[in-house]
Amino acid sequence: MTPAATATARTAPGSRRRAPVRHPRRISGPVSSAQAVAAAVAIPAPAVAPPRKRPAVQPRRRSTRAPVRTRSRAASPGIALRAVDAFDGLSAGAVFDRLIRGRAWIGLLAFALIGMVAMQLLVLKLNTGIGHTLGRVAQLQRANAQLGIENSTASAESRIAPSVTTAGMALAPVGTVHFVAANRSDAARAASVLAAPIQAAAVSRSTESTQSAQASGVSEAGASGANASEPSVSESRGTETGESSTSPASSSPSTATTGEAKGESSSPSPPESPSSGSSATQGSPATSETGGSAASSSSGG
Amino acid sequence: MAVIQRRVGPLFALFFALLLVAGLRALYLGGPHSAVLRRAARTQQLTTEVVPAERGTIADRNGVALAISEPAQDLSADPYLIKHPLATSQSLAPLLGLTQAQVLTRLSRHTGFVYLAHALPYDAAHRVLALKIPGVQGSPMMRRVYPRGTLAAQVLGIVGTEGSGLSGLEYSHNSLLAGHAGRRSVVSDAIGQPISIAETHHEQAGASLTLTLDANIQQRTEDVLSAVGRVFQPKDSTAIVMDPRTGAILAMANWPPVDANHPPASATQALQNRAVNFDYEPGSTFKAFTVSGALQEGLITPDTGFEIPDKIQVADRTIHDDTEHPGESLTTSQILAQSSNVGAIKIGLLEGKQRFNSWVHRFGFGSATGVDLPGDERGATLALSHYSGSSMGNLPIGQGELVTPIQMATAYSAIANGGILRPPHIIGQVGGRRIAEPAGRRVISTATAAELRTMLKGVLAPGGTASEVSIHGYELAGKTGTASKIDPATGEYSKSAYVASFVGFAPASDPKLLSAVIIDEPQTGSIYGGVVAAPAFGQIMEFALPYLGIPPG
Repeated sequence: MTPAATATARTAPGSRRRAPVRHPRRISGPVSSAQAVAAAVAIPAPAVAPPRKRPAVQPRRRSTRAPVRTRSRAASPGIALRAVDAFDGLSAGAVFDRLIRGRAWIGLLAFALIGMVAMQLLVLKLNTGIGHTLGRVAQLQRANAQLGIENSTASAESRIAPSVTTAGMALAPVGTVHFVAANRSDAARAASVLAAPIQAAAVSRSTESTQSAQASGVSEAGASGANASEPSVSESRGTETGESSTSPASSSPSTATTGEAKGESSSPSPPESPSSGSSATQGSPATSETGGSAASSSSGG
Repeated sequence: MAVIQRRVGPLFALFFALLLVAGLRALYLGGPHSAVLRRAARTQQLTTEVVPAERGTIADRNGVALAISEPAQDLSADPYLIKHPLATSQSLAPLLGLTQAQVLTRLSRHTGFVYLAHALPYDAAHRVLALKIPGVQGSPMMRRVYPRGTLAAQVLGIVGTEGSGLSGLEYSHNSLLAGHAGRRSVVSDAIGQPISIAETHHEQAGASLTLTLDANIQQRTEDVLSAVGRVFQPKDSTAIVMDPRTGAILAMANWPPVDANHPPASATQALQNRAVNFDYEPGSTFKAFTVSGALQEGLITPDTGFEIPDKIQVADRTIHDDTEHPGESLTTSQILAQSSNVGAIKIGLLEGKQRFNSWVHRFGFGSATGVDLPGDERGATLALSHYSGSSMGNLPIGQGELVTPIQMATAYSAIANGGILRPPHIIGQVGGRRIAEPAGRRVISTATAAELRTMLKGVLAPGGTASEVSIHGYELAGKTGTASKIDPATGEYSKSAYVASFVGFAPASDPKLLSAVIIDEPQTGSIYGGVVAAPAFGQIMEFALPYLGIPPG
């Protein structure tokens, strides 16, 4: 009961136009072997020759690969042919066939079209965003340059001088800012000042360190005496570089004191440093960063 | 079913007809009409923008911007498109900072292009363009701004209207600073919003330069030179402050000042960086090198005594000391401290012309110092083959040879740092990357350098030529110089034109800062280096030493 058999029976010889053969809906792609066999069985042999000799099932024309003559020439056509083959294969596929036979393709096509439009809109939006961002970049660049100019101008002495005068201050004249001389009593004075906020337990240690400092003729950063278990920090007043050295030590503050005279790390440096104590008393400068500088600063002779 | 088929037929025909019409229309638009549409699209929608590259910033060692670029616009107009020049000029003039007559003159020219303003700040340009006057357009560019105005203007240099450096560091490092401008195609919609941006060339910003200059020391040095200018009214003057240990230049000042933001307001000569391109006869400051060579050769010691008459005859020339005095006995140290011409010539003669000439070149005179600044002059030294009989009568005292201030500062740095002649440098970092300090070469031994430093202390000690200069807590060392200039009219040494100079360092025992001050032709007051230049040196060092945290010594 295949439509093909019916169509064949209605066909009159010589009247192709009036009574066209109504073939079943042509479906592209290969017919499955079961369908082909059924069709072959159902169609009887025509009494007269059909107007067009056409096999019920046309063998799909398979593109055959041309014989490869040279390797260089075969590379390009090969790819093209493979692409055609792949397309053929896709169009011949049952899934594709079923897809376009039904109504799902309408939805698919609509989705694809909407997606394309949406993507175009997104691209446009993205480009607009890029435009805005570029504008923002330019704006920030301008602001940055402007701030750089303002920063440089604001830090100029010519601007600061009138400002401080307005604020009731005055810039120290050149030459009046200099390192002050150190006295032996400065260390004790500094230590006594620093002793006030320190706990009673630590005061004794601080006093010891003060005495030690006085004995060696150098000043001491009072903070190191606060807690002997903490790393003691010695300010390198005795050096020209002004580097501070941190002693991981837990040793007594006097160790740090000995080392600082040379301005080097207190722990590793030998306590019998030849310049120990001399540099500070000779007027090494107050390059320390803490309050101890007042006690240890010197004029340089 | 047949009804449906009958309705579908016309509908199909209708759609087919519409498709045909659309196709034909597309063919028309894409074919015969395409050129017109393409032209319209180009002018209305597609624009090619030049993206100017940001010129690199020049900053001092602490990051204070000395030269910076900011976006600006060049405004131009097509006078043929200006329909109402009078009204347009009236609205544009206040925005451009010009008079209405000036704008009207430009808009009335019979040409298709006139500049209305160059490098107009962006905001001002935006206000002009917001008027949307047909024919007035702006092109983006970068405007160079020097926030500190005159500060180090001769060192930094200037940038021309095309954005290229014309002098100073802007010129010598233009390729680094300039970067590369970019280009992009922008498609805009009907209201001018960009809908497609494609960069055809990516712009590349210029590299930033971080100098070894310190803006505060530079400012102080310039202030001191200005004060010298007011008091002594010299033709011009220059000063260098550098770290003798590394050759890093901390300040390089010139007077008269130049406003880098308005260079046309200054004389062309004032734009020159005299610190590197001013050739002058050094005078007595050169005696340190005469003595240095003899010390290194072992011919003399600081205590070697010399009988010093009032004058000395060398070939056909008679050279006097600065002041008349009876014959006296001076040590080498005293010769330097008192700047005795006769003593220096005697040491030079002791050294001999070959060895003397060798030492002149060993200290770098006669060749460029290698400083990373343009216009690094070589100076001029006499070739040994051209020495005459009297050459050793004037060369040891700094006459007959030309040096530059930077050469003198560099050579004195070798004495200060223990004998290493190191090329000076002013660029610390390029694009954030630290530049390796140039390698030096030993010219004198550490011992000789130390002996010289000790001797040079005497110049600022009582009895020295700069004894009035002192800084509380610091020992200073240096040498004064007062050199006659050649009178171009007569070809003889002038009796009125001098170069007063002082080169010194501190602390004397372990120098960490060096300064050279050269005053060209002081007109009023004194002409001596000890009076004109040495106090300036003192004022500069008095500020710079504590400022840099250099301990007394």
